[in-house]
Amino acid sequence: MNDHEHPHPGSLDALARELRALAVEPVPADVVARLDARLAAELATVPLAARRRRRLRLVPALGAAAAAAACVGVVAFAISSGGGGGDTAAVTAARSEAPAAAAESESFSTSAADAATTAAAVVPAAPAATGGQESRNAGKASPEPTSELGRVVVAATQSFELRVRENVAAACAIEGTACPAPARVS
Amino acid sequence: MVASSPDDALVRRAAGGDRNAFDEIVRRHRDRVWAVTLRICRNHEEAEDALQETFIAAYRSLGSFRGGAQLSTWLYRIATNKSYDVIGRRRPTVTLEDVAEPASQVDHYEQSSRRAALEAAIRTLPDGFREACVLCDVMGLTPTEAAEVLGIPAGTVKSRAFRGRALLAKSLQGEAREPGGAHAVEGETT
Repeated sequence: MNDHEHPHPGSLDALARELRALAVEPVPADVVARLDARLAAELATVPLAARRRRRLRLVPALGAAAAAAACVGVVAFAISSGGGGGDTAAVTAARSEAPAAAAESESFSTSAADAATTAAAVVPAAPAATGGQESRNAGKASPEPTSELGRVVVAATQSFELRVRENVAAACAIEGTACPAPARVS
Repeated sequence: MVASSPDDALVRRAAGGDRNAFDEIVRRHRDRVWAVTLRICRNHEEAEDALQETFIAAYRSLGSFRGGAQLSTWLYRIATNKSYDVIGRRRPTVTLEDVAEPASQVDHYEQSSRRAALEAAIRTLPDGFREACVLCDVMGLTPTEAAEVLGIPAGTVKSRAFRGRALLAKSLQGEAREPGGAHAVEGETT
């Protein structure tokens, strides 16, 4: 646009005043009603903060529950396949690791704790299932498993604990809070 | 009493899940957000969609709102983006027919003939000029604030707003001699 095409400054000032008068455009009543209805439908189900808290807890909970279920499976397999005395250590380790990991995840998920409790509950059945051999060897259990199966069980429980720790750390990072000290039972 | 609370207090409460606080934010700002969406979309139905999506998006992003910024400016930015989203969904390509909407199709919100002429003239502005004019001249944002909303340099906003205002003045005086409307934004300073 060339200079000679510019309107008179006075007319621009008047125009500016008219434009400012358009700033508030009352929303028609029908539009307000539909806006309120849409907001109610989209936003009223769960409060924002509660939804965010639930999301923060759901992810670690799912991970912990899956790990606990895997732990139960491994222990059950060990029992059903009739492991020897060396497996007692692994079973004992599983008994001690599962509740410890469950204790860590307790603040995030009751389902994970339940699953871990189930794992711990399955383990005492081992002596009966294997003819009491484990009960005879329980007093001299070594922290290091001696059989391949025992190592698998220990690895599974350690993996479970590691995943819980990672989830707790991730949740703490998102929420910006300090991570709780690990409550490991060795 | 919610109505006497400043915006930042309302935002904090709404971000914590207080729906009453968010409803108050909507009540306070819906007319101005409507003014933005209506003039960017130039279509009552699209403006309504953009209005709804603006407040839904605002509610979901309240946690990211920085308290130092004006809530209205933040809402205008969302409204501008949502308006273009809605336009893009419904009108993949903007034609000159969209720009030069006849004055006979003026919506019911235009009540006086002068106001109707002004609204019609705003609709005929090229996109870049129109959004700069709406944000600076209508909504009263500074060029810097409008630049933040639009994601372009403040100098560009200033230039577009000035030229848009000049085009409006000429259009209202019946002196516009640009056949078909200049859709492209040319010769602006950045």
